[in-house]
Amino acid sequence: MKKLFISLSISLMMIGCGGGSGGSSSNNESVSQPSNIEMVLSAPYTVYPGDQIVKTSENAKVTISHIDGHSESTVILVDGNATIIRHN
Amino acid sequence: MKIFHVKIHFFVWIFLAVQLVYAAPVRIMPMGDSITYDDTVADQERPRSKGKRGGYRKHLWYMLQDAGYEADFVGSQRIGADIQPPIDPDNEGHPGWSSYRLADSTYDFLVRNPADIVLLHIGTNDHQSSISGINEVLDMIDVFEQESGLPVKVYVALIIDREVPDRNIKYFNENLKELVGRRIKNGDNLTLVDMNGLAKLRSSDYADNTHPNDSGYRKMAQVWFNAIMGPDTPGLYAFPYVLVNKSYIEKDSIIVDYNSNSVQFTTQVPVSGITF
Repeated sequence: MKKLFISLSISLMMIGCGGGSGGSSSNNESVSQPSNIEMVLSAPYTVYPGDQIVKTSENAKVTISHIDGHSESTVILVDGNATIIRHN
Repeated sequence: MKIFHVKIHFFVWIFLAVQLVYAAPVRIMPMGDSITYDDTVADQERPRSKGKRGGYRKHLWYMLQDAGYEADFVGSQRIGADIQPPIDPDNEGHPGWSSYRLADSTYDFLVRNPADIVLLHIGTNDHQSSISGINEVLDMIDVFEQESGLPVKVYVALIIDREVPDRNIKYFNENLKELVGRRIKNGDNLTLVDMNGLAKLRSSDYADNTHPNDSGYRKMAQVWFNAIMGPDTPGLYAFPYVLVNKSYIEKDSIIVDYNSNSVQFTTQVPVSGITF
């Protein structure tokens, strides 16, 4: 029973500490690429912190709606052309 | 086994220490002019006892107490010490002061009485000039934060109008929205509180043309309370300016709806884009 308790404790500590191998394994992981969403006139888009809207025509204009306390906002393209860049 | 016990004791002490830190009252500095102090025109001729004046601070104290919020009002002024049930009378309300004069003392106020939160309602005595006085107050708070390493959350109020509406206060508040939004965009820890729009003071809420009476102060306290207890957001009016420079936003397009707690506005997309 005592051994079981000790081995359980050690297991939990290892999980809590991450227990991972660390090192340079990230070198093999794929680097996430930002995704581009071409906005369509009058269509609502939900945007999140970190998202960016860039214009692709000089006259790009958007209407932005936001509810207090929410992280996301809603964006509608009302004129011109624009793209949402999302960093995944 | 002994080492195991020592480790457990260590973690228990850490846990208790964390609990003590979290249990420390939040130091709140009500800062402003006569509206924070609770001074009226009638007090110039027949002054009420300082110990009996509470203004919005009295009601806010009761609301925080009722909510179980551990607060400690701080400041060099002790106004309202005889009020029953007792309140914390400390504050930095200074009758007649302009925002510029307040800026001259802001740093010293915080050095003497460090605060976690500042409730700022200033500009009533100098709203006809620019808002640069408030900018200076906020600059001084930044200086204090940088030198002390202590963060200060500042709730900046759009100031209440006179009983007889004053167009200059409307302009003042419009400029203040942009100022606060711009500063938030640059990383300042501010929340814009629409005291004027949310308190909705009526004629019956004023002691004179400038100062609220008890019912008016109760409404102001409710707005401060909601801001302190609410989510940590920039405030609806500041939101557009947090995202986009004023010059891109369509004039009069900003619509704040307090029923849905939302804001909507239309803007051109700047060359640099809009980052959320």
